Amino acid sequence: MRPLAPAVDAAQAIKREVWRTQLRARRGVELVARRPPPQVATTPKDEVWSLGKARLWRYRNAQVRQGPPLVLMLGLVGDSAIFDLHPGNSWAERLVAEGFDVFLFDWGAPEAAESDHTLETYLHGYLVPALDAVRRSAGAAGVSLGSYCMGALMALLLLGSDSTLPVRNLVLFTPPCDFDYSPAFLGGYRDGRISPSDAIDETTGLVPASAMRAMFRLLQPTADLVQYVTLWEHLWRDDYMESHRAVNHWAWNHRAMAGPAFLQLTQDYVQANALVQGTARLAGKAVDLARITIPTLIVVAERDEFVPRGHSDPLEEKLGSKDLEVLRVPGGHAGALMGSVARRLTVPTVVDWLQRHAAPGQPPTPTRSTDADA
Amino acid sequence: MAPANSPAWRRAFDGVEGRVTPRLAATTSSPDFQILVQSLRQATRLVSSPVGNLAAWGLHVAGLPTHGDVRQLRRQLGEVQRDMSALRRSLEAAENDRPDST
Repeated sequence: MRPLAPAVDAAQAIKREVWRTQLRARRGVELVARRPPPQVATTPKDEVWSLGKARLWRYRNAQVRQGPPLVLMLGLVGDSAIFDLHPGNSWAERLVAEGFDVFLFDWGAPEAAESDHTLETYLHGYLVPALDAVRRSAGAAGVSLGSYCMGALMALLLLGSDSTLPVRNLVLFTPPCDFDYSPAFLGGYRDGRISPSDAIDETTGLVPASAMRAMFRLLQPTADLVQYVTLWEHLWRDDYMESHRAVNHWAWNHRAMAGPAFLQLTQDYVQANALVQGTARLAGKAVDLARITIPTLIVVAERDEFVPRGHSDPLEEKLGSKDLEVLRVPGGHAGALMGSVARRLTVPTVVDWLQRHAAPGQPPTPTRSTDADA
Repeated sequence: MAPANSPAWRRAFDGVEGRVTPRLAATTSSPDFQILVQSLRQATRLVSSPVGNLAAWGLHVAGLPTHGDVRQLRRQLGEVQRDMSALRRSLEAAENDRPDST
């Protein structure tokens, strides 16, 4: 029996909190004063191809054991750093360690020179040549493609309009498809009360990065505040600041978007829901999702605030692939790809799926929808 | 949401934030709010336009460039960049189409 135990515990808790607060204050001052750049994309890689602002990197790997080469890509408004965020929280690092030949494709941040770009310009003008460059660099006949969010939509448009492309396996991370399930912040565009052309800057012909950022902020108006409070809470930890800054850098590092591509996305997909209606076209060719028959893994985030799960659900029926699996991750849009849920579930499952589909000529047991609710 | 072993101040913050944020987000992400913001932006532009014109006149009298002049220059520069970019793409495509290209 220790009658003073509660008082001792309380004193120890206060002492601990004072110590942590001292550390927080010291590190907070250091952070504000030095503003060191975030350490993102640190896995060693070499640029193997470029065109305009688009870049293709190949991660160094002396022990490639798995084929075909894997190309990772994002949509037009995000930074591809999400695939190589921070040591210990990096898809590229993990995939290289598993023996994959990993390439990272990035569209680059557009300027006035890219203001005439349509989805066709991006897909046929940049992505298709980049895939060819991957094949040349790796000496491979085909590639695996992993694409996230808008990048997944773009991959669907490309592969749905041309089945001769050298893509052997497809991983779609949180792919948008049915825009009837769009989040509320797109409502004004959907019902036509907001004209998408109003978002385009007259001088540059781009939707500015600040406008893209503002659009996402509308959905999470207190995100900044929560992020600063979380930073303050954990600032005493040695390992926290770097990973926080890496995640934060990615989350708010939006890019401008070329006006014509933005108009296509809002008018054809957000408003007309062309993918579900079957009216989508790319460079005049009809996009038919049933034409995508390659093995496909769809990663759906159960609590996705940007691409709610209903968005991706029609793909299970519409894709032509008989070897289709769906991984449902109990997390949000970004959390499905980074953080603890990603490390525990998404990364191991995707790695396992890629390994099962690695050997060409040995088709895996066809499966259709494997839920991995945790 | 912070875990149970978080400090008391964090749990208090989460309690308030958890109640406020959904309501705030419902407002800010609604189409009505966005239309209001857009209307405000248009109204600001309408009001600031005559003031800007007057300021531009004053700057031109003094022989100085205005914001509009800079925008015009940027637009022209953008067109030159676009042409160069298209040229570069055509050149690279021609290079790749050459029979001896790897």
